[in-house]
Amino acid sequence: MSSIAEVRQNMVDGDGDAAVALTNELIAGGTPAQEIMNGLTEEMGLLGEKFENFEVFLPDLMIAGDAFMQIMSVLKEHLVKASDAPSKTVIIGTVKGDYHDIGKNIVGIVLQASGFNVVDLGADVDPVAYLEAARKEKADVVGLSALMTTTMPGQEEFIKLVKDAGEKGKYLVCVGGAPTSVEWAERIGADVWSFDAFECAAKLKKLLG
Amino acid sequence: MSTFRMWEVFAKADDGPFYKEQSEWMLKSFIPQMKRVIKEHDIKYDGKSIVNQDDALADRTWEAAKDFFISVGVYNQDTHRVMKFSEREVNEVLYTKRPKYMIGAGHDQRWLRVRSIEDKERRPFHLFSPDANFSTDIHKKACMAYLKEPLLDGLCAPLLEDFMGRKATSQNPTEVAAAMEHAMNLRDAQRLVGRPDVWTVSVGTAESAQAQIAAGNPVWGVRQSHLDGRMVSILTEMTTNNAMLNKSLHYRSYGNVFGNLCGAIFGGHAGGTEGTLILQTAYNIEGACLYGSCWALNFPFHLKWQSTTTRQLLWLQSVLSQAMSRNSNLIFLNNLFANAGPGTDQLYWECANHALATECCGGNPWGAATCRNKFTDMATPLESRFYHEVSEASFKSRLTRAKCEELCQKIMEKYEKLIPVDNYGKRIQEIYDMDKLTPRQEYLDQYERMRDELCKMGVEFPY
Repeated sequence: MSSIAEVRQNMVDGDGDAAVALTNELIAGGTPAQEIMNGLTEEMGLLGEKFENFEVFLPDLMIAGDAFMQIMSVLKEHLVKASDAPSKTVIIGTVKGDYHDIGKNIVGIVLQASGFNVVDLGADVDPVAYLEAARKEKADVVGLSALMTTTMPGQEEFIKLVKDAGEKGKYLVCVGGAPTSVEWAERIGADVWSFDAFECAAKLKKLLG
Repeated sequence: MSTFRMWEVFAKADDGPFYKEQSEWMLKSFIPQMKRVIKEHDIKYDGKSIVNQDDALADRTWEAAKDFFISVGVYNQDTHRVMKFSEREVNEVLYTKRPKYMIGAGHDQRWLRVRSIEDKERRPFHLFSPDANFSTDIHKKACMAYLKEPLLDGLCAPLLEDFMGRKATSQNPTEVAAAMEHAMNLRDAQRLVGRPDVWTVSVGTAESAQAQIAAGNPVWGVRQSHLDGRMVSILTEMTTNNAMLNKSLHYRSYGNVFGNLCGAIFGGHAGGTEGTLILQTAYNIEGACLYGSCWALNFPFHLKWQSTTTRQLLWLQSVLSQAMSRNSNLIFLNNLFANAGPGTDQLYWECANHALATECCGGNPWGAATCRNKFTDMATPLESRFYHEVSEASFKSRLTRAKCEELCQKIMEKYEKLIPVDNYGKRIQEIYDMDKLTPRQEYLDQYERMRDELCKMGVEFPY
C-alpha cells in the first residue's frame, strides 16, 4: 500500500487525525500536495458512487467528509499556488420555516467532494441571509432546499428578492427537496432543479465549466 | 418520569449536554452509537425477506432501539443541548402508557389500540389519508369523498395548497388562514356525509405551531379531547426544537389524543436497513417520552424514492411492528407512501403489499399517499379503499406471516423493477366524477380487476 493510499483509507475510515499525520509526513517527504489532493478527490468520488448505489450510506459519507475537511485544512496552504483557478462557491441552506436538513447536508458533502467550495447556512434560513451570504462570499450558486409543501414558497421568495435587488444572473439559483419538481422550478424561475445531490453536482459542473 | 410531567421533560432542553453543532453530535454520538447497537444486538437483514418470521430478531430490535434512545437522547436545535432520558424514566413511560383510547363519538366512536402479531380479535384501525395537497376549489369535496368510504375509522384530510390565490406558506398569514379553512372544510364535509363525529387527525395544512393553535376551535375547527387527533414531528434524525415542543404543549393542554409523526430515512444518518429499523423503533419510544404522544405514525422512507414500499422498507415495517407488538403498549400506525400514482396498476400492487406486510405483524394501516407525495390533486379515495380492504381481508382471513411473506414476494415481482420509473398516473378530477363524488366507471373496472387478481393469488375479501 502506497502512502497516499493509506491517507485515502484513513479518510474512508473517518480517522482524520491519522490521515493528517500521514499527510504531514508525505508533504515533508516531498510528495506534491496536489497529488495527495487528487487521490482524496478520487476517493470521495468513488465513495459518492457507492452512496448513489446504496453500497455505502450517509454516515460513511459524513465521517469521510469530515476527515476530508481535516486533511484539506493541512493541504490548503500548499495548494494555493498549485491551483489554476479558484473553486466555485455554492451557498446552501434549508429555507425559512423548514428544519429538515438531511437533503441539504448530502448536497453539501457531494459538492465538496466534487471540488466546490461550500458555505452551509444551516436550516430555517431567512431569504435575506441567503442574499447577504451570496454577496459576502461572491457566490457562484445559491442552493435552497425545502422538504415541506408549506416551505417551498421560501424558494420563490428568494428568487423575487434577487430580482428586486437587481442581482438576477449574478449567480445560479438552484432549488431542490422532496416535494419540489422541475415544473415547480420552472414556475418560480429557478435556474437549476435536480433529482438528487449527484445530479445537482453534475449540472453545476456543466453550467459553471 | 410520568408522561404527564412535561415540564421536567422540557427542562431537559436547557440542562442536557451541549453540542454547538448538530453535525458534531451526529458524528460523536449518533453514528458511533448506531454502529454499536447494530453489532451488539446482532441486527441483520438478509436482503430478500419482506415479512419477518423471526421473533427473536423482533425482540432484539426492541432492545437495540431502547439502548440507542437512552444512549443518544434527542438533540434540541434551539438550545443545542441533548435531552437525555434514563433507563428508569423510559421504563416508567413505557409501563404507564395506555394501550387503547376510545376516540371519536356517536356512531363513529372507535378503539385505537395496540394489536398483536397475527391478531385474531382486534381488527386494524383504518386511517384514511392521502397525505397530499389538494386545490382549494375541490378540497371540501375531496374530504367528503374520503369520508364516504365505509371502512374509514379516522381521517387525516387532504392538505390545502393555497389561500385566496396565494400559496400557503409556513409561518405566514396564508398558512394560518389555510389551516383554519382546512378545519372548517373538514367539519362541513363531515356533516354533509353524515359522519360528524369521525375522529380526524387535524390539520395537516398547519406546519407551524401557531397555525395549529389557530385551527383549534370546538365550534368550527379542531375539537378538544378524544374527538380529534393531532401530530407533532420528530425532526431528522432524533432531533427536535422549541416549535415542536410548543405543539406538544398545546396538544396536551387541549386534551387531544395526539401522535408522533416519525420517519427515519433509509440511506440517511442511520445507514442501511438495520440502522433505519432501529432508529424507526426508537422513534416510537422517543415520541412517548419526549412529547407524551398517545400513538405514533411510522413512515420510514427511502432516501432516493421517498416511498415506503420497497423490499427493504416493507421488511423494516414488518420487524418494527412485531418488535412493538411483542414488547410494548405503544400504539402505532404504518404509513403507506407509494411510488406510483392514481389509476396505475402499480399503485394497487404497492398498496396490497404494504397492507399485507404490516397487518399480520400487528400494524394499523394509514394511507394511501401516492406518487412520492410530489403533486397536487394526485390521490383518490379509490386506492385508499383498496389498501384498507386488503388490510381488512388479511385480518378477516387470519393470514399468517408465512402466508403474507409468500404473497408479498409474488406481488413485489410485479412492481419492484418499476420503482425508479415516474409512473405518476392521473389527478382526482380525471378519476372521480367531482359532482357525484364517485369513481368513473373505467377506474372502478380497474379496481375490480385488481381485486380479482389478488383473489386469484389467495386473498379473500370479506365482501
